[in-house]
Amino acid sequence: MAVAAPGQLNLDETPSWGSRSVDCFEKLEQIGEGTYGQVYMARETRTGEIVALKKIRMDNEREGFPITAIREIKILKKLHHQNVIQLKEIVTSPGPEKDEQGKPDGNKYKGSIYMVFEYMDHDLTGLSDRPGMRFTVPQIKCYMRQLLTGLHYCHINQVLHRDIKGSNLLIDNEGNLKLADFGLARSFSSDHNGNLTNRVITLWYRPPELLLGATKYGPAVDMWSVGCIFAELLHGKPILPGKNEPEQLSKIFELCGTPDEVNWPGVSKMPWYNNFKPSRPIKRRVRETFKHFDRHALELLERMLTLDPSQRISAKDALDAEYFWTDPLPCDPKSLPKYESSHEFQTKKKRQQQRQQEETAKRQKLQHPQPHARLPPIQQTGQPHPQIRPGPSQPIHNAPPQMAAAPNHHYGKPRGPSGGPNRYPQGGNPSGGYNPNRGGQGGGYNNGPYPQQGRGPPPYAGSGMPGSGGPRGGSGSSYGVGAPNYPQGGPYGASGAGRGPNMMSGNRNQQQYGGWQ
Amino acid sequence: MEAVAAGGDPDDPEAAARVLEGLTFTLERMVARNERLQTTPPGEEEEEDEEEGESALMEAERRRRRGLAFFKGTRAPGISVGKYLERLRQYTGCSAACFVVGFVYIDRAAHRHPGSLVLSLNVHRLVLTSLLIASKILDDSHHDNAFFAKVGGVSNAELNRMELELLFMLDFRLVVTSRVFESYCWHLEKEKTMARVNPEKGIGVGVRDASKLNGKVERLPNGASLRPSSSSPRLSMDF
Repeated sequence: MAVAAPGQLNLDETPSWGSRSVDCFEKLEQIGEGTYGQVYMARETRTGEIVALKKIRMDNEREGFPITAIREIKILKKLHHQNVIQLKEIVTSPGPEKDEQGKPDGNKYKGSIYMVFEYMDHDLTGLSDRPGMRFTVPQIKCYMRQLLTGLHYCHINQVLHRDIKGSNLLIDNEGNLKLADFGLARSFSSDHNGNLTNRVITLWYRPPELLLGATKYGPAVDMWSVGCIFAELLHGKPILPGKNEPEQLSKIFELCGTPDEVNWPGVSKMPWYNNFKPSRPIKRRVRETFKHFDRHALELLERMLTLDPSQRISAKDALDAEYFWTDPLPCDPKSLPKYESSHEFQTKKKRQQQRQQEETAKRQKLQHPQPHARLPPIQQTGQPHPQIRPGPSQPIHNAPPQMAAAPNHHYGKPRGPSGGPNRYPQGGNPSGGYNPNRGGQGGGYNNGPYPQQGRGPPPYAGSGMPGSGGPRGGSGSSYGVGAPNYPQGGPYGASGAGRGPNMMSGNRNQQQYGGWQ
Repeated sequence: MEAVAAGGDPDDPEAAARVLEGLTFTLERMVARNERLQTTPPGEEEEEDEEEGESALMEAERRRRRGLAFFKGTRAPGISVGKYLERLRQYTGCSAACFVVGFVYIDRAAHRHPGSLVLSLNVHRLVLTSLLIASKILDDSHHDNAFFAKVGGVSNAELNRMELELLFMLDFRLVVTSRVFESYCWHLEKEKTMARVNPEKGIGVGVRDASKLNGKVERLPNGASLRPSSSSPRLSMDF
């Protein structure tokens, strides 16, 4: 091996690492902006293959290589399945780089790192938010089955996704659905699943055990999210759009009833149970609320939205549910319509501006939440309808109108309140920093009523870790306070609030775009 | 699968002490062996990795030439590996499992790039960098690079470069199955026992005795990125 002369380090040497250069790809256009950098659609020069390049932002010196990226890469390196997004390789750009406008990139002299993914045209949220979009029942079954198949694969490989939501389910024009964004994912072992953070999963899709402070949990957390998505697909809008953790829990209780030692043995020992103990028991009303769903769908949904994680249905059992084996059967992905997708950046920018204007207009009528604009599925009862359910030899779906130049990638649009027409709860306090984004994780993690959970004795004990100071069981009021992101200030400062277990969730707050993050 | 299983309770100080002890002996033996190897004519130990594919040959060659240079200091730090591990454990609060997985990464890197020898000049930085990566992988709450750099006695920028280098040396293959994890635990345990039986084998290089630190950290010497010693970690963080 080379022995560097004393004092002579190879620090200035351009890293070469054995990875290919990003120059092997021709960037076509930016298609997204995510947690750790821009996402580009690109063509591999040699093969002509279209891929997605996800740039890993390396500009936070304190953080180094982003933890979400490190985990995502690690996990995707070991997962290979048709319903899990494929990480093809990691490429580097050692030299100066220019951005789309030809201006030098901010990271220019640092070099950049990109994850190369197979290209996907849509994500589920973007697709279902398309104006006029109606999924058919066979289509919903088809997506749900793929979602469960991919998730089952993850779970048998002992990976928890921990951020299942529509914008992380990518769909290509062959009708294939793939799980993406494993930035919050982690491995678990069935014999020792302790000390996991409960600050994962986008609020609307977060299961009750996490909201009650569980740090030992398993695949059931993902299944709750699947249940929420399933109901959302059938119902036409998100079913549990809480603005903050306490409200999320109360929404869950209103729908699924309050937990007690009978329906959820052990619940009273959950860390935060006493803080959120309902004052009066509420009856479970899933069946009532969704009485318009067909019987098998409702049956399956009931088992997904089971409060007690140990009784919640597993991905494997869900795949065996009657729902997927009764008429109308899930359709063949290939039979699904090919929705036009557009990634023309300018068009999207224009749409974004338009949305922002709409949003401003909407903010002015805060007090009047409007019905969701998404349409429920075409066929909700499973009963034949001549128009929607043609004979078996025909495609079983209505081709929705092709929208000209309508990018339906969720990654193209702000994740926040402007994500879709009337889709999001209106923030009560737009100026106060609360951002009811799709993540629902805006504001207040550092101020909230939740005690900080973490490993062992916090290294900052006595120096203001919020765990000792956070008032428990407070109202949601504190969620309106302060910047949602973890502070960049030094961890040595007196507050210490920026460090520790909520870091990853904090990161999530920065994310504004779905899909290719 | 993640590795905590065989490591027992990650917060169990006894488990951590055992792991650290085993790790110390293992690393010191490794360093001692490699230092001897290094005095043999260069080229002799370079015959090993011919099974790499053709396309990878050039890169392998380049990597081999560079070896672990990224991790190399100008002189061996005055703190022994054992003390250094103890310090990292104390201030980062990393679980025992992190240390084991960190060692797996060092071992993997060394095996992937056989020209790269773990030596007294690079072992500290390797330990620090691998522990940082392991903690990012394993622990849901973890410290940032800036913190690790302070505890480890290197600059933030250098640690970031070393992190990248190690990640790419490992080709991001960071999964450690519980089977692999357990076999490493067993290996560490065995090394410890051997060292007890044959103490002279366990003590390889003369870096063990440098206990002059008394809790104070000196920066790892390297010449290139040394900053004024005033930037060494404040003891006020040493709760």
